[in-house]
Amino acid sequence: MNILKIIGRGFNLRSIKLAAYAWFYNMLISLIIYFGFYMVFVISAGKSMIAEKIGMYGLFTALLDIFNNFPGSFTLLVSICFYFGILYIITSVFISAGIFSVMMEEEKATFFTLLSASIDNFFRFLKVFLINVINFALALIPMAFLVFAFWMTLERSLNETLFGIFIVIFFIIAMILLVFSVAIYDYSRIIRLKDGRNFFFSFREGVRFVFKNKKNILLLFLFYFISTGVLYIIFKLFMSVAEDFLGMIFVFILYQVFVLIRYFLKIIIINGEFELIRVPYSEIQ
Amino acid sequence: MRHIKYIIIFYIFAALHITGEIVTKEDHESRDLKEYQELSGGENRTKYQINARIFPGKRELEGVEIIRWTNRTGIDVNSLRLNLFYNAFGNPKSTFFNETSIFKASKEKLKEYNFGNIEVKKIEIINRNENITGVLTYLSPDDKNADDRTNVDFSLKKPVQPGQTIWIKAEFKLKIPDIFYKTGQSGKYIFMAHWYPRVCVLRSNGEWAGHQLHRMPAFFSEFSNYHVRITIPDNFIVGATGEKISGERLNDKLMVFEFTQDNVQDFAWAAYPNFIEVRDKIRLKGNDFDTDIILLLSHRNRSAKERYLNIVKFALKYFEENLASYPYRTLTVIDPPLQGFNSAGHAYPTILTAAYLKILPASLKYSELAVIHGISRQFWYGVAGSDGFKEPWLDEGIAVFYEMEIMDKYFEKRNLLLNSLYLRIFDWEIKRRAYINLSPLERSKYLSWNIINNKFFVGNMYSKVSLLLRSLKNIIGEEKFMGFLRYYFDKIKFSHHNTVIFKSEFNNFFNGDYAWAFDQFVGTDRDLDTAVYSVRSDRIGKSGKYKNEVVFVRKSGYWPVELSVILKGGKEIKLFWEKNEKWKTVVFIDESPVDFAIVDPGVKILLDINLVNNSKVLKKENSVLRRLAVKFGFYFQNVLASLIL
Repeated sequence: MNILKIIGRGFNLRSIKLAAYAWFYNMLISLIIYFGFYMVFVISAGKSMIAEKIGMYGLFTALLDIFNNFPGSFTLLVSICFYFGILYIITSVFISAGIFSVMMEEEKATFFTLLSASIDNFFRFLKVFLINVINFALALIPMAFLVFAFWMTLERSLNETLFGIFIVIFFIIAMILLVFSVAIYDYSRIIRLKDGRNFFFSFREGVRFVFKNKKNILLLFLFYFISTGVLYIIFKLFMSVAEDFLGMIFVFILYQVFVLIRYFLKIIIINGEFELIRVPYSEIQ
Repeated sequence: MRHIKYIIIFYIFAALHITGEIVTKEDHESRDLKEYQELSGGENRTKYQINARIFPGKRELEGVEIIRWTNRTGIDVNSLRLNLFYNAFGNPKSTFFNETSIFKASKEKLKEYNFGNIEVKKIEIINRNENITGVLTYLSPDDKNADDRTNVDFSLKKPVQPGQTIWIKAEFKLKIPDIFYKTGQSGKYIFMAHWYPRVCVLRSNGEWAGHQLHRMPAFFSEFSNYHVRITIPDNFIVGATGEKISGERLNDKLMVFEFTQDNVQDFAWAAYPNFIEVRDKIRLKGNDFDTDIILLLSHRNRSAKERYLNIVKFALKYFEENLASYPYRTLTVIDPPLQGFNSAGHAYPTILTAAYLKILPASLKYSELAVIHGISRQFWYGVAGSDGFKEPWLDEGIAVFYEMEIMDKYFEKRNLLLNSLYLRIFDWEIKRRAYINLSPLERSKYLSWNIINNKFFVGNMYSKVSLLLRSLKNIIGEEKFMGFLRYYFDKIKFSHHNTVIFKSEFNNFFNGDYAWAFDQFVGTDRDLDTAVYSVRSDRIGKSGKYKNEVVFVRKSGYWPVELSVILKGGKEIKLFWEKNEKWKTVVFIDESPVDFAIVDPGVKILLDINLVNNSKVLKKENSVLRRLAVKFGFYFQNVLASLIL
């Protein structure tokens, strides 16, 4: 099966709508963090001109003094971000329940369809998520082992170049493990929707499917990494020039466009995963 | 429990404060520069002749040294005080290891570490036929630690009278430790510092200024002449203090290298079979000789060659213009291999250890920083000597000031420690962070070994002092300020100076009393915070005019500072607040109301610990803060978008 064709099938309006649905929840949770940062800055800086004089003081110094002026503020912000991150993880189960279901049933991607699909399938997906915690933990174990083994070797090593080699090897292995664990999670969810059997079954079949289709899955995710990287570079270069000239609202909108495109790329990958399983799943039965 | 800890720390600092006061008064007995110069050198300079044979396989070194020492005081000397710093690495209860707490933190490390030591097998005064080997007492003048053997006193049968010279012959043996800090051996890489018995400085009152080896960098030694022969297996490449005057083959396995250097305070050297030697020359103004730049690169760091040579030459040129020409014929830069990285970033006379890691991105300028700092220390410590134990600011603080200046110039306009697409941090910002993050309890007086850990030492001695000097430079003017340092350095070079001398020369040079700057911020727990307290504008009836009132406050410390009041419409009122008063109220009537007021608009005074209160606006418009919040919120959004959907 031509992987490029599979990817290409994801480039459509429906994918954008699905991405927008995911972006919406991201935005909801992030607004609280936007507000949190704003409040901390306003309270810390008060009527000071320190933010306006960042060019004079340097960003690092200005932020350092702002946070120092409101003791505990930085820790508070980090804590809030952490807890909202946890909240988002649970929310992502809800989001994905709707998205996967709509993709499976090939329904219209409207907000209310997605919302009702999310509600309908949330608990099923929550169970799949919980069983996949094992999946993620299993992916971490070899990484932790690698780090330990390399560390013990490098401590005794006379060769600094080994550090560089280790970082490259670790990165490659970590990426492969990440891809497989995410793919297993995705296919667990797909199979859970396709098949009425329990979540252990969907997890097991997810694992089986992923390892049967290693090459295509790796290619699919490779596309995702490359496209995200290119997107990031273009965005960063553009914003480094444009940020100083654009109004704040426009900057904010551009940020949201960036996040939306990121979700769009994810939806393309999920769509690709669906395409991969469409035919072979009949063989699972 | 936490509070009890702070109370105990407070009392310790209080006790140290009292101790510090007593010691400080004794140390400042010499206000006369000429006296220091007479003590420091001339024809009666101490001379070291050392023959060392190293056995890298056994991690041992055997040495014989002959020291010519003259009593340059007016008082009889009844004992000979030597530093045996290598004993600091001899047992886990030494003062040095106590201060690092490394073995308390990890018993594993205690089992694994190869300790070292120095044993004086025989010591005699050869021109008196006096064997003093057995008549020794270990002293711990700094902390009374009986387990510390870095300071030893040998009793003499008869005193050394004023003007008399003695010739001391010492046979010693070293066991070379792992490189934990500065010196030792790791694999085949060897860096030898503090490795030979060294005579302590004798003060003019006849007392020995003998210190133990501490974790914090501190040096105090005489300007001496060195002639050192090192016998080593022939596959090693050696770099050392001074000029290499010969490198001869002893037999089919051994080489003998001879180095000599006059008028330095110490002798250090490095050896490694995998060095690549790169040589270059530089002719500096005022020197009638070329200075050889000897770069000993670790063989895997060939790519660092240009980076090192460029920064070395730049730094030497900078010093030539802004302080003095480097006065020695050689400068050796050691690029330690990975296993010897604990020896990175140190400086000894005419030799310094750099720091280069290939895996670090080029945007991180740590390698340049390490070299610049090492070269700064050649001048402020190497040539301008001081008691680094009692007054570390005089070498470390001033060296760091020059480091910031050179980083500034080398990277054009802003001294960028980190310059990448994502983040730019400047060297002075890091120094300031180290200083402002000290709590009042952590700010410290002079005594370097009483500064509990590296964080406090760096914050007090490196950061606060260098920021003080930069702030002074900003208000006095660069040309005049550097002119003073040039003049002062020329006056005290190759001798020891102290805070009293520095302050007095500073005031004389500028015809003013800058005691307020030094007394407040050097060796004290004071900080500086000048703020805009309030801004107010009231309309005056129907006149169309405003009564504007701005109140400034000195929340802590004193520094004469520029003030600026900006009115709506852009008109600026500038003031200079020189009087040492807590409050200053500025009231004036104008057609425009105040927009904002600012303390130190030129950002000249980097010692101010709180820049937030340096400005205040009448009506706050938060657009910039909103933008900042949007930026940081976006980073968070991105993190969420990276999570699994």
